[in-house]
Amino acid sequence: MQAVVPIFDVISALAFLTALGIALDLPMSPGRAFELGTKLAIVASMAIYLFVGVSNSLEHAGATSALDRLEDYAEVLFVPFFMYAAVSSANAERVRREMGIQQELRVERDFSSSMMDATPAGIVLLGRDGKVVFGNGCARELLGSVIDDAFAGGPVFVERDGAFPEPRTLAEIAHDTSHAPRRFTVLGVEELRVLAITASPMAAEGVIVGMLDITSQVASERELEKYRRDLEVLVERRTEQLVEANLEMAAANNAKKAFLANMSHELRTPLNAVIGFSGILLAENAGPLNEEQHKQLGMIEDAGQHLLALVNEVLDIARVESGQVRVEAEKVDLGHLLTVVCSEFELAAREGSIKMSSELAEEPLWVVSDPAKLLQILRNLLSNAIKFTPPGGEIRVGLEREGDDCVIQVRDTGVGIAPYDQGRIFSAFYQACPPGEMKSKGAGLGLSIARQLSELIGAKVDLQSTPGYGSIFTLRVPLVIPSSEPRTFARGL
Amino acid sequence: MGHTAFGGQSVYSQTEVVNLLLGISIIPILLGTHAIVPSRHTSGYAAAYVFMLASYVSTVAEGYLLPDVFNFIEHGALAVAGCLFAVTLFLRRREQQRNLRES
Repeated sequence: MQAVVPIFDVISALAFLTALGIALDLPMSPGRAFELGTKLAIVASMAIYLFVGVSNSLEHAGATSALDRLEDYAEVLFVPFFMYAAVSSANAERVRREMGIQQELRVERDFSSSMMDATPAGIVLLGRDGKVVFGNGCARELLGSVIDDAFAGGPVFVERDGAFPEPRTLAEIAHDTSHAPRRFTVLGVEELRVLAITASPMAAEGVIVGMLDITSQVASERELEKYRRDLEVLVERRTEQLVEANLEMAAANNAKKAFLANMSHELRTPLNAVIGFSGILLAENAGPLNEEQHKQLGMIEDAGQHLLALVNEVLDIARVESGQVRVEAEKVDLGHLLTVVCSEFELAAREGSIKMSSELAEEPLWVVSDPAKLLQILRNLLSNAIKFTPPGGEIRVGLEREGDDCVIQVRDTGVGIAPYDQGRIFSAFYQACPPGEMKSKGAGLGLSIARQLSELIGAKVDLQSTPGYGSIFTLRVPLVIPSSEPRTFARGL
Repeated sequence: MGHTAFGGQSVYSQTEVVNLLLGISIIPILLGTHAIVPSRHTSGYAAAYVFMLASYVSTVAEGYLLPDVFNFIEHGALAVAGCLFAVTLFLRRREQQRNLRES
């Protein structure tokens, strides 16, 4: 075991020699003189034990005991050197960290300062005593010539919308204001200057006051308010004019309706006389007629019938529009109704060489509606189909139930209606001119009356048509009229 | 000056005892310093210092019992302490050089 001890001593000497070499080469940060003490202490402590290692090695080689005694004293010095090295090294680490923190703080302060100056809003820091601790460049610009008064705690602000426009100081404003901005006018500056001011208390101490110049915004708002008031006056004036125009229009419309109703009535009376007496003459009740007389009386009767139909239509639409139509609801078998209407037009269809057929449901389809209105609607639809279906064409009438509605369809293989006309065909007096015909047939009232009457009884008329192939008019009748009480429907103005 | 025991034979020198007492007495200071400013190299220095103390203890103890064994421990601990100091200082130098380059 003792044979290994010299080897330990040699290793020890070499290790401390290496440590000493490294300690001598320890780099030092520029400008940190205190690191020198640390370095020297480490060097000294390593040198001491280098000496101890060398001394021990020499001792094994039979060296003098003078080195051995020196070694004892040197060993005693190691502990203080080592302690100094440890303590000063720890201090160096602490100082290094503090300097790092200070550097970070400097960078952060520079950043905050640059940001404050770059921001387009005025920022002021008020201390706990209400005095200004810091104000950025924009705050100084905003406050202009009263900057010193404001920063010294002088009252240079007046609240714009406040009930008591007394001059206020920044500290008072900060005390009363929160994150919601309030508007203040700056006193003592040449031009009007309005600021939106917010205040935000800091967690530590003091209050951050933000100021934004909204002078131009306030001017714009004032201008907008003026425009708004002008616009309101204009709208009011126009509304009055519109009401007057509406009243005039309503009066004119009523006069028109009254005229149409009266005139139609007055026309129908003599027309009935013309048609009646021409019928009597044609029946030769007043004596025999020759062929020419018979022909001319027939023309008189046809013209009279045509005129009467026209007058009846005008009278109908005038009544509907003037709200004089009453809806009398009762239980109606739609199939029976359709059969009746189809039989009425069978003769006309045969005379026009038009094939007419009906596809009705096997069981009766009952609805609660106004049979008179339904008859008139169906007559108008069928009459329209016969008018615009050429000889050799076909008209099919169908009836079926769809959910809560009964659907009646009148299909014809007539000339069809152009898409442009389809949106207008239900307007009063609108006549779509079929392709190839210079003049349309009828007065343009049949479909309009059908549409208006269907609305009165809660039904709906729709049209699908392809020019050259025919049209499909669909009447959708509800099973029960929306209100089955007899009533008068007021329409129009 | 040596003291006597076991029939008048000098078993230790005063400097060895002083060294041991000094070495033990600064332990609280070193621990306190480490508690205030923790360092990455403390464990290396601490290990080396523990071996140094072991060497001191062995130096004193070899005068009383098992002289061969404690002498072996004394010199061996010193060699280990030297190696640990060398390695720890090497690591510290490398880090300081890197810090300087970065700054």
